[in-house]
This record gives sequence, structure tokens and C-alpha cells, in this order.
Amino acid sequence: MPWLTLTIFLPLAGVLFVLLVPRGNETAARGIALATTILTFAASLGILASFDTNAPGYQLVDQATWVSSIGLKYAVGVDGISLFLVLLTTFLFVIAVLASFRETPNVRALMATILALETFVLGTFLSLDLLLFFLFFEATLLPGYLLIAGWGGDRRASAAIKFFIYTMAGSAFLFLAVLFVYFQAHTFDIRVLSHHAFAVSTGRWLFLGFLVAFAVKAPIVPFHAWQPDAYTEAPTGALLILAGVLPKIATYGLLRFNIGLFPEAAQHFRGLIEILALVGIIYGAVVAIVQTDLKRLIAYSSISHVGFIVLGLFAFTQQGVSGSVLYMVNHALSTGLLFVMVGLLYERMRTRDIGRLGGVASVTPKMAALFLVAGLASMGLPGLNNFASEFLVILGTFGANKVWGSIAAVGVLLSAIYFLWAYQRSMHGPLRDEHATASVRDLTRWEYLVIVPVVVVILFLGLYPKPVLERVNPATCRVKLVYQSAPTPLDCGPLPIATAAHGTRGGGWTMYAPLNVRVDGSP
Amino acid sequence: MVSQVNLPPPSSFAPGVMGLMWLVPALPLAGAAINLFFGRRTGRRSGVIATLAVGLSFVVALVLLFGLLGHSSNDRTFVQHLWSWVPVGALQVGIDLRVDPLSIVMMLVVTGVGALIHLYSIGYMEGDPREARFFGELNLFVAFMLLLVMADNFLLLYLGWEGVGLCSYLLIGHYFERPSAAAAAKKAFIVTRVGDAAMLVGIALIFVTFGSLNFGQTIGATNPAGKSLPVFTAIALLLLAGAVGKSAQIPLQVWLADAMEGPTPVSALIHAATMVTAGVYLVVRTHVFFEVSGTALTVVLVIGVLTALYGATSALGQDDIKRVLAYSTMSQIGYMFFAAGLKAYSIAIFLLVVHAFYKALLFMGAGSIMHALHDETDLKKMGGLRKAMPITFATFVVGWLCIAGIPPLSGFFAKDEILAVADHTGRVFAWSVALLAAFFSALYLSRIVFLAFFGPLRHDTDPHESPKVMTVPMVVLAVLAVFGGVLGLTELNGVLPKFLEPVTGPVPEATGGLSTPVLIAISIVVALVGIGVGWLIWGSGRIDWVALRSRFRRTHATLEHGWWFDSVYGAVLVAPGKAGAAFAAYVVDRRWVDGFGNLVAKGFGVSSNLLRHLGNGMVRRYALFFLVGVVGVLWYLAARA
Amino acid sequence: MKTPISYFLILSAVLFAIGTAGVLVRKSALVIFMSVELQLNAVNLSLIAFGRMHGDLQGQVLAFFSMVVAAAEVVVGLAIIVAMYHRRRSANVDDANLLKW
Repeated sequence: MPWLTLTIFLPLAGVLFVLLVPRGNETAARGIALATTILTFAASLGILASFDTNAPGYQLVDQATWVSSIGLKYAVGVDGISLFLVLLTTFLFVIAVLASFRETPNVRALMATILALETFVLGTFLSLDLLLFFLFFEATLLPGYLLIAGWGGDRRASAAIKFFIYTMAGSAFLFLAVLFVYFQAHTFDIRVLSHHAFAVSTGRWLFLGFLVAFAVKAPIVPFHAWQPDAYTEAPTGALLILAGVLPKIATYGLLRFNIGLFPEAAQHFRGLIEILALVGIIYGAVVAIVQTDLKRLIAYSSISHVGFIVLGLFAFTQQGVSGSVLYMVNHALSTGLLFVMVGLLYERMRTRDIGRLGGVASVTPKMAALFLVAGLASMGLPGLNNFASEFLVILGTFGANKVWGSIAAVGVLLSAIYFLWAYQRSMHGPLRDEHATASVRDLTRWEYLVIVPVVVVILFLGLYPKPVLERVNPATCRVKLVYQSAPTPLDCGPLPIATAAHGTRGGGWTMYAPLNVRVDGSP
Repeated sequence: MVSQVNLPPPSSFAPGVMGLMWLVPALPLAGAAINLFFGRRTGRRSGVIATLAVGLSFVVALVLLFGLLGHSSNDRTFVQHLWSWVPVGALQVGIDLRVDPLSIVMMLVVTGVGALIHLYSIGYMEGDPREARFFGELNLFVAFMLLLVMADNFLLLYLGWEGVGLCSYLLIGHYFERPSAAAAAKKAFIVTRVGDAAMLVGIALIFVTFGSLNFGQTIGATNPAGKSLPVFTAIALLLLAGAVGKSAQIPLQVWLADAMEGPTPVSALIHAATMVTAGVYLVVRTHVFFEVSGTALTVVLVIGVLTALYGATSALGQDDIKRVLAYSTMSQIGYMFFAAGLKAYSIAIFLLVVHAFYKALLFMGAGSIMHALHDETDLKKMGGLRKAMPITFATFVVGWLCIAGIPPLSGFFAKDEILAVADHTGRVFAWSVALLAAFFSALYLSRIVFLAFFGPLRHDTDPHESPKVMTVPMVVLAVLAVFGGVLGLTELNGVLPKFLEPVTGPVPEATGGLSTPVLIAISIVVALVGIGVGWLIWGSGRIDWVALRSRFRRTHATLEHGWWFDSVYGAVLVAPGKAGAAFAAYVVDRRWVDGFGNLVAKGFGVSSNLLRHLGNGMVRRYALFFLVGVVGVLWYLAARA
Repeated sequence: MKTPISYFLILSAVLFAIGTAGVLVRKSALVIFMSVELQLNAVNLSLIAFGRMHGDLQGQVLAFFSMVVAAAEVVVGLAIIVAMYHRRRSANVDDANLLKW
């Protein structure tokens, strides 16, 4: 089975079916969209089933020549890094369609847009061809724009335009860089490109070109100005994708292209990026503290989380990189759930303003409890999903540079401050009079259907992330191969400690060699 | 897989009973799941379910204890690997449970005292609309606490560590409609998380230093010769930061008094008997780091002594009976840190155990009083409860005498041994400070006893004794508090110190100082003086303590506000922090970052505003431009040719 | 004797200049249109003149093309003018200034 191609294009087929539905038959449109996403998810499980855990390279490759004159190929393949991003995408799209069921008007168009977006996102993660990647990457912009502009909040027009223009401005650099790569290497094939040695200065310029595009899309501070507006205005279902999946395209690109293709430049600019990431971690969290709109607050917290992801990628230790890949998955789940909960809250209270909320937990205890679960996951409570990745990133960064690692840990504290303070003011305390009269219902069965799957995955990944990590690890080790010319290779091997696994206290001191974690190249 | 650590590794698998250790945290976890997910169906039965879960867990822990005793004292470490948790490269962290003398003691305290408090809660929480949720969270707490003390690696310990913090947050905020409770819950979580963040860095440093997070390869493998001393000091101090936060020691002690907003059983279980002592457990568990460092050990000692005195004095200024007990808890944990700082780890654990008995008992007594007086916590409005509540009174007296340090009650032995070690190892100044704290300890509890149980009734209700389901646990704990001293009759040869020795090492031997009988005499005299002064002020009726208070208004206010720590933190940290965040959000983000984007947009706007006048809709003007353009191009071409 | 090519070209240039001036200064869309036709015919004239000079038919062929295109253009253009007149009761191009900023 060509699982990858099937997974990528199933949603596009769904678009056709949705458009064939007669106008006005909204239930059918929703049903088709849901069925399509579920089928796509099933197809992605097919990828997982046929994935070889221990193989480090690209697997399940499908390829065909597309435009032979410029060597443009349709080539898709999956490795440990993209595997779970794909699964995450197909999973979250099911949830996103479910969460968009109540969205009106123009249901057909909404569903078609969401499905189209799914194809583009999946294509981005799976492309083995740089130009194909670029096309998919750019294509995600349009549905993203439509979702905000078409079904967003009151200030959707300006938010959508801001989103579009900022991202487009970044993409201009990406386009130039992609073309330039072709003129240098005469191929778009990522597998070939990763062995191509670019001249030092060329590599650095190209690195910057890719970086700008991804920095805007992720977003990395200070390129984030579009993000709080876009997230605040976007409808809940779309937000799952917009805030959950789309930033991962950028961080995935950072790992696959910036680090994978230009290792020397990555090494060269590492300090700069790590500092930007650290600034993002602290800055996003600090700004989140004083936000009054819950959605904006989560948007800024997302900036902080993206900072962690970038930090781990450029730590260049295996814990850092694997942790980042895991973090990409986890952040989408926890932030997605948070946005869903805020969406439900808004439906009931007609406000997201923390100052006008209060005491919600006493009327809708279950909703408040699940909101807390989402928040705790997002602030990295051990046992929930984010913790393992956050710890790995901090640990990996710490192994590379103790100061950076320590600063990142401050983010752990700040996340508790902004979330718990907001939770206290909105959920705790006495119920405000203006809400006391409104008939507010706790979660319905239907809403559980949206929330429970996410919570289950959050718990599972919190207690047993091993299935993910054991597939990610070989792939992140492969990054090391690309890196061999760079001064700080990832450490992938087993612990260089040969002695017995069990130390003793009574039986004298056992000597253990220090771990081979290098600080800035020194052994 | 269960392996016995001290034997040569893979050959040894623990027989039989030790394999049950996973049940100890699993049972309360199951109880929590039942009560949290099916709360509406469990209803009134939730308390019974929760109590049974913890009770069964206690039974399993007892079985494990006997299993442990069946091995020789050097073979008492068992590790059970449940599943692999976070495996990346050199980092291989599993969900690994460990049973050794130290953890079994903690497990027994947590499940034993925990079960009694659960039982008590059935009576105390009766009629609460969120009863099932309360018991679910209480069970969840016990499960996390057990993970904390049973963890075999630092990451799992951290999981338990944060988990108990979460449950503490949830339970303090049980009455979340009260703004003060909501604020206290948040404060508790955030203040402890300050320490936790540092602890996380410490864990990272441990991994970088040792290449592992398992206790066996880190604590068990510390080799001072191979590593530089500052690393150990750094590790120890970072872990200590976590311990200080969790155990409410200076400078992170500010959350504990506010945490009394939670239901009283919560205060008894979490904020007296178990969670707050986790810091002591951590220091004792990782004492190797502290000892190698030396400096860190001194820091522990100083923090302990200071907090002992701080808590004991601040307790004097509180009118809320629970806040008195909260400060008392800080003070007592200060003693435990003090003991750890003196390398008398087993004595620290000894005090931890007996403190769990008598402090839980005192909180239950306070809860019983509140039960009788419609949730009144103000000492000024109590009085004369001795007759109406005989059982509460009797058990409270046991707790009182324990903290005051009257032989032969358990509190006496624990505290006296700490003071003795301090004197014997030449820490005379610390010893005298601790002695002063002991005096205040006797004083503040005497104050509660005389104000609440003696004198005239200052409350207009008809107090009554609490139901059996509440008094029975109190009586059990009182018996334990009276006889708990047998666990450690002498610091060198007590049952508990001997049992713990394989983990904690022996208590340091005396190198000088006063002889033991003299020290005991001094301790008793100080305790009696404390009680006597207490009686004189609050019990004898000869001194008008209200007038006394207004005469020393300043002093009283200082003590009442816990030496103004909250105000200072508010002014130095919170207010500037909020201002900084506001600056970042409204100036940096909105004006600068967003402003830059808007500036670029405005630049395009201005320039296009200028250019747009060229396109005024006059077709003939367009034609003229066209002509000019064509002529220009032709001119250029002609000129080039 | 053949008429020199320059005669034709000068005539063509004069016609073109008249046409251009007409486009630029007249307000009536119809007159502008006629001026455009004048320009086209000026170009046609030079095409034919060049064809005659080279002694082949290429110039004439091109002129025919140009006339066909011009005819098509007249159809579209007149239709627009008529439509505009229907709407605005005016064929003055200055009144048709909607296409701006």
C-alpha cells in the first residue's frame, strides 16, 4: 500500500465529495468531512503499522517524476521525526472537524477548507522534495487565511490579513532560498541535498533565508506579532490546526532543512537562535501573565512553548532534539485542548475576559476540571504529556550549556504563574452575578467526544512516551551523521559507562566516568 | 522485574512479597480514579472507598516491611522496574519503585497516618457537596506521595513531588468559592514551584555529572575523588531549593500558613504529616551530596535552625488555631532540617515519624473543635472546651506535651536527641537557638491549650464531642504519639536509627559537650518553663493577655504577619514582577514589536498614498504617461544605439 | 520614379501625431476612439510602405492583421462606450473616473 500518498490525498478526495454535496445539506457535509478525517487517521495508522522502528532513514517512499526538465519529483517518505507529526496531524484534524461541527455559516466551504488544509499539512511533513515542500508549505497559508477570515471573531479581517502578510513576507525569503539551493546543487531532492556540501558563506545565507520563513511561521520572538491576533480571532476548530499543527511545520522545517542541510551554518548561528529561543520562553510567559483575554494568554504561552522547541533543536544533544520532536507533538495536544476548553467556556459565558469571569468552576465543575488538566499539561506537570519533552529539552540544553538550561527552567516556573493566576481569577472565587442568572450547562456528551480522546492521549504520552521516543531516536541520531563535520555531535550511543548497572553503597565507592555530554565542544 | 540492589545485579530477583510493591501506590490511585470519575455514583460511600484503598495500601506496606525484615540489614534494597518511561540516548528513566528501610518507613507513615486521616475525614467532611471529589483528590495525593518516597530515580521522584504539589493545590482550593482559598492554593503551588524549578536544574546537573538519574548510580555511586566539589555543592543546593519550597522552610515558607484555607484533614495529612516532610526525605535520601559538599550541609543546618525559631515565634502571634499549627509545623520541620544538617539523618526521620503522629493529631483536634464550633478557628472565641470535648482535650494534651518535649512522650525523645547531637558535635550556638525555639514551642502550644480548653467559653454555641469516626483515629494517633518514642529511645541504638542505618549511616558520635543527663535535664527545664509561662499568661487569669498584646503591638504585628515576609516579597518580587510583565506586554509587545510591523505597514501606506494620486481615473492622463514612457524607452534605445 | 519611403513615413508620423494629440486632448470617448483609429492607420501606412520598399507582402499581411484586430477592438470599445453612455448619459472620458485609488 502506498500509505503515504494515500494519507496525503485522502482529504483532497474528501474536498471533492464535500463540494458535491448539494447546498444546504450541512449534515452531509459535516459527515463526509468527519468520515474523511477518520479514514485519513486510519491510513496514518497504516503508516505507523508498517513503520520499521529501528531504521533511521526515510521509509515507505513513494516517488514519481513530475517535471523532468527541472528535476522536480513527487517524492514522499517518512522517518521517525515526521512520523508522529503526521499522526498528530491526522488525529487533530479529526478533533478539529468535530470541534467545528457547530460552526456556521457556510458549512460546506468550512469543511472543504479544513480538508484541503489537511492535505497541505501532511504534504509538508512528508515531502522529500524541497520544491514540493515549498508548494505545500505555501499552500497551507490560503486555507489558514480563509479559516480566520471566514469564521473568525469580531476582528477577524485584520487578524487574517496580518497573518497572511507576515507569513508571506517570510515565505519570500524561503522561495529565494529554495531556488538558490537548486542553482547550487541542481536538485530538489532532500535525500541528495543532505549530502551536498554548500560553501560556507552560501550555506549561511541560505540558512538565514530558511530561518526567516520558519521564524515567522513558528513564530520565534520577535517575529510573532501576527500570532496573538490570529489565534485570538480564529474559530476553535481551526485553532487546533493553526496553533497546534501549523507551527510544527516551521519547527519541523528548522530541523529538516536548517539543521539538516546547513549544519555548519546551524553551528554558526546556534548562539543567536538559542538566545532568541530563551528570550521567547521567558518573554512569552511574562507577557502571558498580564493578558486579560484567555485566548491571548494561551497564544502567548504558545510563544513560550515554541521557544522550548527551538531551544531543544539547537541544543544539538540527542535529549534536546528528541525532546523537541516530542514537544512538537505534545504542545499541539495541550495547547489545542486549552483552546478547545476556552472555546467551550466562551460559548457558555459569552466572554473570554478574565476580569468578567469568575467562579465558573462552581457551575461547570467538569469543564473547569478539564480546563485545569489542559493547563497542567501545558505547564509541564509530570505524568502529563508535556513534562517528558520539557524535561528532555531542558536536560539536553543543560548538557550543552548550563546557563541556557538553567534559564529555560525559569519558564517552568513562569508557566505556573500565568496559568494558575488566570485560573484562579476565571474559575475560582464566587460566581459573578451576571452569570448566575444565565442557564449554564456543564459539558455535554458531544463535547466529551471532542475532549476525551485528547485527554487520553495526553495521559498516555505523559506516562509512556517510549513508543514515540524509540521511533524518534534513530532519526534524531541520523541528524548526527549530517553533523559529523560539526564540532558538537549528538551523543546517541549507549552510556559510556561500562560498569555494572547497579551501584552499591555498602560495598565501597564505585567509580563512574562522567557522561560524555560536551559543553561547547570540549570533551 | 524486582531486583535486589545490593547483591551482584541481574542474578538476584526478589522472592515473593517484594513484588507486591507496585500495589502500594496503585491502590490509592485506583481509589482516586473511582472517586474522581464516578463521584456521582459513589456519593456517601466515597469516604469508605478511599479509606479502604489507603488502608489496604498500609497492609501491603506492612507485608513489605516484614519481607524486608526477613533479609539481613545490608540486603534491604529492592527495586521493581515497571516500565520504561523516558528513554533517549544515555538517559534511561523508568517507572522504577524502590523499597529500602528509608522508603518503607515513609510508606508506613504515609499510608498509616493517611488511612487514619481518611477515616477521620469521613466524619469531618460529612455533608460536603464535593465529598467524592475531596476523597478522590486525597487518595490521589497519597498515591503521588507514595511514588515520591518509593521512586528509584530522580525523575519519578519529581513526578511524585509535583503530583503532591498538585493535590495540595486542589485540596487547599477545595472551597474555591472563597477568594482567600483560591489565592492560597495558587500561592502554595507557585511558591513551591520556585523551588521545583531549581530542583529540575539540579536533576539535570545530576544527569550531566553522573550520566544517570537512578539512585543506585548517583547517590549510591558518589565518588568525591572523581568529581569537583562545587558540582556537589551545586547539586545539593539545587535539590535543597526544592526541599525548602516543599517543606516550607525559609525563604520559601510563606505559603504554608495560607494553605490552612483547605479543609482541616488536608492540613493534617498534607501540610503536617506527609507532604511538607518530603523535603526532609529528599535531603536524607540524597545526603551523600550534602556530605561531600559540606557547605550545603551547613546551609541545611542554618535554614533548619532559623526556621525552627521563626516558626515557633510566629506561631505565638496567630489567633487562628490552624495557623498556629502551621507555623508549628514549619518550626518542627526546621528541627528535622537541623538534624539533617547535623548528619543525624535517622534522627531527622525519627522526628518526622513522630511529628506525623502528633501533628496530625493536633490538626485533628483543631478540626474537632471547628466541627463543634461551626468552623470557628479564632482562638479568642474558644475556651472552656475541656468539659464538652473530653476526648479531643485528652488527645490534644498529648500533642501539646509532645511538642513541648515532656518525657516520656515521643516528641521529647526526638527533639532531645537532636539537641544532644548538636551539643555533642560542638554546634553550641545552633544548639542554643534551637533550645530557644523549644521554649517558644512549649509556649505557643500552651497558649492554644489554655485559650481553647480552659477558662470561660467565649462562643455562643453548645459545643459537643465529635463522632466516633473522628475520635477513634485521634485516640489511635494519641497512643502512637505517646509510645512512638520507643522507636528511638537512644540516638545510637534506637530501633528506627538502627533500621535506617544502611541508608542513612550512623548518627555522628559524640565528640564533646555536656553529658547526656545534663542535656535531658536542660531540655525538660526549658519545656516546663515554656509551659509555666504559658500558664501564667493565658491560663492563670492573673495577666490580661489582651492588654499585654496591645502593649507590645508592634511585636505582635510582626509575629502575626510572620516577620513580614509576605509584605517584603510582595514589594520586592510580586509588584515589580507585575510591573515588568505589564511593561513587556503593553510597551514592548504592543508598542515595539507590534508597532514595528505597523510601522512598516504605515510606511507602505504613506508611500502609496503619495503615489495613488497618479492614478486619478483620468484616462487621458494615463495615455500621456504612456506616451512619455514610450518616448523615454525609444530615447533610451536610440541613445544606446 | 518611385516615391521615396520618407514621404510615406513623414505622412505616417504626422497622422500618428495628430492621433496622439487627439487622444490626449479630446474629452469625447468617440473622438478619442477615432483618434486611436488614426494612430492605427498611421502604423498601417508605414507597414505597407515598408512592404513596398522590401518588395514583399509581409508588410501588407501585417497591416491586414492590424486591421482585423482594430475591427475587433472597435467592437469591444464601442460596446463599452455605449454601455457607459447608457449608464451615465455621457461619453466624456473624464466622467469615467471610477478606476482610481
